[in-house]
Amino acid sequence: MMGEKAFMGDYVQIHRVILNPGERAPQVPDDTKKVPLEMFVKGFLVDTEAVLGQEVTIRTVIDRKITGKLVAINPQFTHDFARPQPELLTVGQEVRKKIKRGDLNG
Amino acid sequence: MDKGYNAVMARKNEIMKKSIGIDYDLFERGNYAFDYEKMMLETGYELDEIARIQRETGVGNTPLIELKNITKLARMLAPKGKGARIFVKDEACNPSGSFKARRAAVSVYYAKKMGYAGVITATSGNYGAAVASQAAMRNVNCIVVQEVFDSKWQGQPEILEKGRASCLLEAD
Repeated sequence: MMGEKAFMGDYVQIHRVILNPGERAPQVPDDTKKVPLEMFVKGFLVDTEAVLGQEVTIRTVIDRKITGKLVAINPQFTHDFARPQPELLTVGQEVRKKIKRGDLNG
Repeated sequence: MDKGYNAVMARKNEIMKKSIGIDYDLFERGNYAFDYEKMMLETGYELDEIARIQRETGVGNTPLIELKNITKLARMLAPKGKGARIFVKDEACNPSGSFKARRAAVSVYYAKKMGYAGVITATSGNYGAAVASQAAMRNVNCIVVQEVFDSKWQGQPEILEKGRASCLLEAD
């Protein structure tokens, strides 16, 4: 949400480019060389207030001060374990039947 | 100071010497060989000491469980008279959920003993969570540098989970 505002002490995430595409390590794959090496760090906002997209300073949990572009305010973890794979569910049933019977071919 | 990739790599030996006090040049043999045994003699720990260090933070002594169904399945598949009993050493019972806690336990112990400002690690997941967990238990500052997302903001759930663990364990 552009225009969202963070205040001093809020837990936020900042973004910085560490290496531009032309500066990447020589051994990385070609498609990786085409994109920058980016860093995201979380910490508490040092500035009085800031909107998303602004250059800010944060204080991290181990007290380092880092500057970067404000990209999120206490972002949510959104990963999950998705759906069970139906194929694997039936494979399990088949194997279990064979184990109980003690015969793979039956 | 030049923080570009090539400049930093050119200073690698000097950085290692300054940060952990190990001069890898001393163990180089010609252009291709590295005397690992000699290095371990000078900087290594005895096994008993490693076990003691690991016990202090609840690492190791993980359960050994017999997989009876898998053993049975293997014997059904193997030629007659073959098919060993199969056991799993459940390393997920380590504090950070993987065997990586074993190595992290010793590194963080050593960092604390030497009075270092903190520990830092690069990781794709499990080792970062292990270092963060050991550092939290020993009250040592910790930075974890983890490749979590690609440029399209895609990441594997298990990798994201280890990154989340490091954050919650108060590592940068």
